[in-house]
Amino acid sequence: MNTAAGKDVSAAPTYEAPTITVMSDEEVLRAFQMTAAQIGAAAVWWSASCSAC
Amino acid sequence: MSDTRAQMKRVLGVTLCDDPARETRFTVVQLPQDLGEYAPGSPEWRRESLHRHLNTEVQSLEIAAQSLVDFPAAPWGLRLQHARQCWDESRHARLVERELVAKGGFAGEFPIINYDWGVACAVKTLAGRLAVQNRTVEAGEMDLLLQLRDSWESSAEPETAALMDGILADEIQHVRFANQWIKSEAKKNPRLVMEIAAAISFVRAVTASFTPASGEQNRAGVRFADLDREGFALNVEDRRLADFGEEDLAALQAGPAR
Repeated sequence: MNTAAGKDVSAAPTYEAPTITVMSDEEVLRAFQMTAAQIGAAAVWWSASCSAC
Repeated sequence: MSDTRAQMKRVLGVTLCDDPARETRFTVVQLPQDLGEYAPGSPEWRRESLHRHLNTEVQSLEIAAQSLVDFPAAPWGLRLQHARQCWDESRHARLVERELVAKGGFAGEFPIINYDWGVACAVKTLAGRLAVQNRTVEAGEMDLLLQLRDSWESSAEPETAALMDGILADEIQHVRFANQWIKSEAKKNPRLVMEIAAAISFVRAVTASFTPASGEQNRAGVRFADLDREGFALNVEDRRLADFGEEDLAALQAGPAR
């Protein structure tokens, strides 16, 4: 049995070395944006149309 | 940030800024299920849409004014922009109320929710507040206003359409001054970028908490699943004027990073 600290680890996922993604300030700002449709999911803004009204 | 500490409230598991004062004629609710949203194009939709818009403009005024209070050490030029925004939003509110009354409605006719205020003023950094309110919410309103303008036009209501167009022109400047400040300051102080990332992550979490289940109905008896909230196209032309770059726009069109 493949064990670590007495536990079976044969079903554990294969180890992957951690990676770091370096982002510039512009790339971070770009990643943290939202559209009207995304904000509108909270259902407090207007809707575009109604399919069954 | 100044010593002024806003009262906070808990709604749906998230902490938001407590409601601003409202006249007693308004019914203030906390949940989207308690708002009445009607079939687009109906007389009730016309009035409720303008009523919702009225409270949105008032909140935008209040958020800009609160930013003047909360961030007294902000650069003078930025404070001047916030002060000008207060004037713009107060004018918008008066004009929207005039349209509401012209269509037979009145302030206080429908329930209101102070969601924009609750979210934006819960963000306690200047960069985060500008990113949430101006770069995100008001930029999203630019997408909305373009569609609302077209909706009013197709309803043969050119005066209301013209009002939406005029408000949209002002919103471009509100988004632009924030974009310019954020991009310029982020170059000098990378910490601001992390404040913005945290603020937008907060908005995403709040949005997820507020999103109703598809089978639920609003106060007007309309199922949320039947209301299209995905159909707002990106207002690319006006976002360009508001200093969104081509790569910013491409990222918005591709969807959010997770």
